[in-house]
Amino acid sequence: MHDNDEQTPEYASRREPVEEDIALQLGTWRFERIGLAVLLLLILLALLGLFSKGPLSNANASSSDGQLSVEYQRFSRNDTEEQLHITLRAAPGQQLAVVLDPALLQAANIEAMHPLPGPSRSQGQGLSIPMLADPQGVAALYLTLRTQGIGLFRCHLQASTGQALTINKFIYP
Amino acid sequence: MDSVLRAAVMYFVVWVLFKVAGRRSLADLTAFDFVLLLIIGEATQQALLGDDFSVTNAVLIISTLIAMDVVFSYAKQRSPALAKLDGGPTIVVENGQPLKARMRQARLTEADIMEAARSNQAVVDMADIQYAIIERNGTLSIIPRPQAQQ
Repeated sequence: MHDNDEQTPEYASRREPVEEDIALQLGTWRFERIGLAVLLLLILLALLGLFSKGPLSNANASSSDGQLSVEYQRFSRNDTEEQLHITLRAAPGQQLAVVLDPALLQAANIEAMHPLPGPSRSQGQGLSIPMLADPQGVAALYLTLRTQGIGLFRCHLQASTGQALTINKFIYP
Repeated sequence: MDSVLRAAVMYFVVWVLFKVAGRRSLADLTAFDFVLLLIIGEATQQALLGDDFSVTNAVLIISTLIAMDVVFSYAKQRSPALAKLDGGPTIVVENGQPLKARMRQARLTEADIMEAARSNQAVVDMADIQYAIIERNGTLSIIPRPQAQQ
């Protein structure tokens, strides 16, 4: 394009009335164009959910037999609220428990828990939360978390019925 | 510790973003630009303060921002390479002829130049402009032809 031909007389540095450095100016304009491209890419990735809440971030993990499943955000930001939904399938009315490992408790504070469980207790450095299966044999637990760490966390969930899951979470600063 | 880091990071992020925006973008502040600037300030404030609304935190953050700004200007004074980051003046009209390729790069229209010409120099004709120059701070300087000044 004629316009971008940086050899044209129009792009020669003038000395009058001001000393120009057109090479520097062309570099600045190039930086602006590249910068805009980067910003647009960033916005696109944000819309896709790379920075939490979007198709790339919404994740669902299940144990191999499908008995234990969890819905979570792959990407989170520091000090924001998010939901974690744990579902456990077992015999109707069965007393169950799910153990959250210390990594999850380091990555996030539990702000709320529904349904309100019976007395939970520590297990190692983790947290054991009792659950009760309904007449269909399903026990659900909704956690509201507030993230508090920064970086990658490998969190392990263990059901009392033996199933286990590992979820990876990345928390942005 | 994290207040200082937050302030330093936000200083650089805002600096880089405004470099990307270019120097013209907020030079002539319209009402919309002013509101946009306020919104940017609001968004920045959250990241700067976090959930710590103490006076100590505010003092630390303001001190860091001002210290960085002063150190940065000292550094620019000492090092020509750093000073170049501010760019230099660029001519966009020469002897009544608009330099179209440069104007396109600077996202500047003839209407922008004529607006500055009218308001600063009471010049109404492109041919009467000797030079139009984008200054380092993004404002347009208009230098009329000698005969047009009478």
